[in-house]
Amino acid sequence: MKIKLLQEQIDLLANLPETGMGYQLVDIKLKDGQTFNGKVVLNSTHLQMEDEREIDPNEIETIKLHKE
Amino acid sequence: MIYKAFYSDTQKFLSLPETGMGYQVIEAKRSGEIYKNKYVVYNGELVIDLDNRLLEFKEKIKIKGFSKALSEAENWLCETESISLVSKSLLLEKRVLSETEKKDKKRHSGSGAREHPKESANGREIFVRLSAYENDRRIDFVKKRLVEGSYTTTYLDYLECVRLPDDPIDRYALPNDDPVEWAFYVRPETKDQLQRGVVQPAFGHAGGGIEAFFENGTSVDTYFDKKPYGK
Repeated sequence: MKIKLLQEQIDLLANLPETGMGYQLVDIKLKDGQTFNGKVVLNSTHLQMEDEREIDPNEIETIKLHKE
Repeated sequence: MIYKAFYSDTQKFLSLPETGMGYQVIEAKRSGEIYKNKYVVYNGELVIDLDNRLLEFKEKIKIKGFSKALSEAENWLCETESISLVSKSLLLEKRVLSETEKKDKKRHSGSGAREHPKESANGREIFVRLSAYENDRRIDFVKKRLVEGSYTTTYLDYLECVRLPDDPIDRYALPNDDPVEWAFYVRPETKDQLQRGVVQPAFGHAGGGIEAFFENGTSVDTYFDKKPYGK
């Protein structure tokens, strides 16, 4: 499932380096404390979640580039 | 191969973070061996060799079901104290081409762009950024430049991909199965720096295309054209 991020999240990622051509690996923390690491964001805009999991981008507390 | 972990190994796995939901990518030494091998661990108990048969084994587990696959698996004979998580470059699933396939598809070997030293552009060489998106955010359409921290391929490698024809998603190991629709052309100036390397396997794709990483982007007015892919 592809989830479109909020404009401020897009702007944040657009100013960070890519992981590969057209994508970034990110770590996400939701406001309820759940974390998702190593997720793919395409074109700094679309978050890819496997297993059709749906995330409300308004519930994302932090999004940053994935760290090993 | 598919293995089942001993209790002590499972406890070790549980003490380490996951790589993704329900799995870990780890390295460990088989008993009596010197070097570590890589494995994918499911639910802290089912272990698979991380090699070019990974997808085949995953499919077997899917068909049999986890419990049956576990009950039929061999014991995993590795040294518990040697277990460690694998670094980011090997987090992603790989597909490995045979040497013949690599030659036929004109794929390259070597390390990724960011592992190579910076070089200055020569002012003549053209680079191409491939994208599924016409509004690709790594192109500053106002200042006509490539944004900082962006990847491209070379014009020559792109031509090769189109000419063969090769699959750009596999060649450049892209995570997005949406087709590549656009090619953005950039000619950096001599003051622009890049790192050049080979796309590494990722997302079940083999890579092997040429990639260039522009840590500082490119100068103003270096982006000069956009065309549909292959045109």
